Amino acid sequence: MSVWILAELEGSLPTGLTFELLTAGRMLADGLGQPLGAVVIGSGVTPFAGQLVSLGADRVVVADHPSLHPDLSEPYVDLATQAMAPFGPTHLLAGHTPLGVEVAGRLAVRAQAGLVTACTGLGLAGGAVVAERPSDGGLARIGVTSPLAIFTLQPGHHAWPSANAERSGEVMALELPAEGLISRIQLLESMPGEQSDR
Amino acid sequence: MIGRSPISEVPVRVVVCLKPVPDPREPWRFDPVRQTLVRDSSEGILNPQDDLALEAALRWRDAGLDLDCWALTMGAQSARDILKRALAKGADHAVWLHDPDLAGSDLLATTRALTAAIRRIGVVDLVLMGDRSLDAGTGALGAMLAEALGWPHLAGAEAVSVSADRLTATRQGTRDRLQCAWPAVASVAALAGGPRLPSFTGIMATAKKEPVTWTRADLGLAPEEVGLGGSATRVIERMPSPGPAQGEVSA
Repeated sequence: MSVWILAELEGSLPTGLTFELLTAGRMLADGLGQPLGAVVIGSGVTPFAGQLVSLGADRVVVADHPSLHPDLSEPYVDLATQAMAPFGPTHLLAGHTPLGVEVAGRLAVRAQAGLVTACTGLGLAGGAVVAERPSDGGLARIGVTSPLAIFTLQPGHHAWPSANAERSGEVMALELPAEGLISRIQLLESMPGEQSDR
Repeated sequence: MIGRSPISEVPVRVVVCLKPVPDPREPWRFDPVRQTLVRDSSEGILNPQDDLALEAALRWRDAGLDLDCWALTMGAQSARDILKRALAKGADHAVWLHDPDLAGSDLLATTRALTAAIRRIGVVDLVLMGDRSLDAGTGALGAMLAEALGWPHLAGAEAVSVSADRLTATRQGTRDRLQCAWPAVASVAALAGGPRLPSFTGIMATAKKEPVTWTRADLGLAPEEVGLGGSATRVIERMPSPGPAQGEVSA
C-alpha cells in the first residue's frame, strides 16, 4: 500500500508542479498512513532522485535512459507500472501536463482505475481521498471507488515543500530492457527551448 | 486486429469522436440526483475541438485521400443533432450511442463504450477527436482510447496530416514534429482555418439520413460496465457556476 507521484523535469530541473505533487502526495500519504513513492523517468534524471527524498518522498524509483523523451510517452507508462507494481500503489498523482495526462490515462485503462484530471485540490474525508476539479462550469468534489485512484493536478494550487537534508529514503534504479523503451511515436523534429505547461 | 495494412485498395476508415457540450451562452442545468450536467437539451453544440478533428478528416478527403468517415458520439438528443450536422458536412456514416444505461459514464466507462463501438465499426485506421472538451475538459480520453485499442496516440496535435501509412502532427506547446504509423489515435488541439459550415447541398442531401443508433446491448457490454454503475469515480458534490457575470456598460 503506497501513494505515488510521477515527477516531471524540464531539462535537468524538476518542474514547479513536481514540487506541488510532493506536497499533495505527502499530505495524502500521512493521512492514509502509507509511504510516499516517487517515479522519476527521463534522460539524465538520476541526480535528481536524492532531492525527492529530501523533499518528502520515502522511496524513489528511477528510470534513466538517453532514449527517454517526454513527447514519446509510451515507455513511461510501462516504466511507471514497473516501478510501482511491487509496492501496491493505491493513489497516483501526476501533473496535469501532456505527459502526466497521457501516462495517467493509459494507466487508468490498464489498471481499470478511476481517473480524475485537472484537480485543483485533494483532501481526505472519512479515510477516502476526495478531489476537487472544475467541471461543467462549476466545481465538483469527486471520489474514486477503484482500488487504485489516479489524479492529475493543475499547477498553482499547492505550496512547495521545504527541503530537509536529514530525511532518509530509498532510491532504486529500474533495470531497463532495450525492448521496454520502444515508442511507436517517432520524433521527426524537436524545437529546443519551447516548453509546454498546458 | 482492428487496423489493417496500408497496402489496401479500400478507403482509409477514420472514426471521429464527437461530443455534444452545453452551449456556453445558455445557463447550464444540473441533475441533483445524478450530480451530472443535464445533457438532454437540444441546445447543445459540438465541442469546438471535435469540430476541428472532423474538419481535418474532411480536408484529407478534399485533398484526394480515399476516405470513409464515421462520426461517433454518445449522449442524449443533442448528440443526434450534432451527428446530423456532421453528415451534412460530409461524414459518410454516423453512429449514435444512445441508451439510458450509458448515462453518467465517467472516463473509464466512456472509454469502454467508445472502444466497443469502434470495434463494432470494424477495420478502423484512425480515430480522431478534440484534445479536450469544453465542459469537462479532462483531456484524457484520447490516451485512454489509445490504450484500450492498443494503439499509439498523438496528443495535442496541430497541423495534423496523413500520408501513406503515417500520421504526422506538431505537438501543441513543444512544437515538436511527431509521427506514427496507423492504426492510431490523434487528439486535435488546433487546425488553421477552423471548421467548415455545412453546405446547403450537404444539408439537403442528408436531410432524411438518420444516424444509426446503438444501445449498450448492441455494444456487447454488461450494464455494470457503463453508466454510473460502471464508473470508478463518483461526484460527491457539485457547486454550479453562479452563471455569467452580469455587468453594465455605460458610455
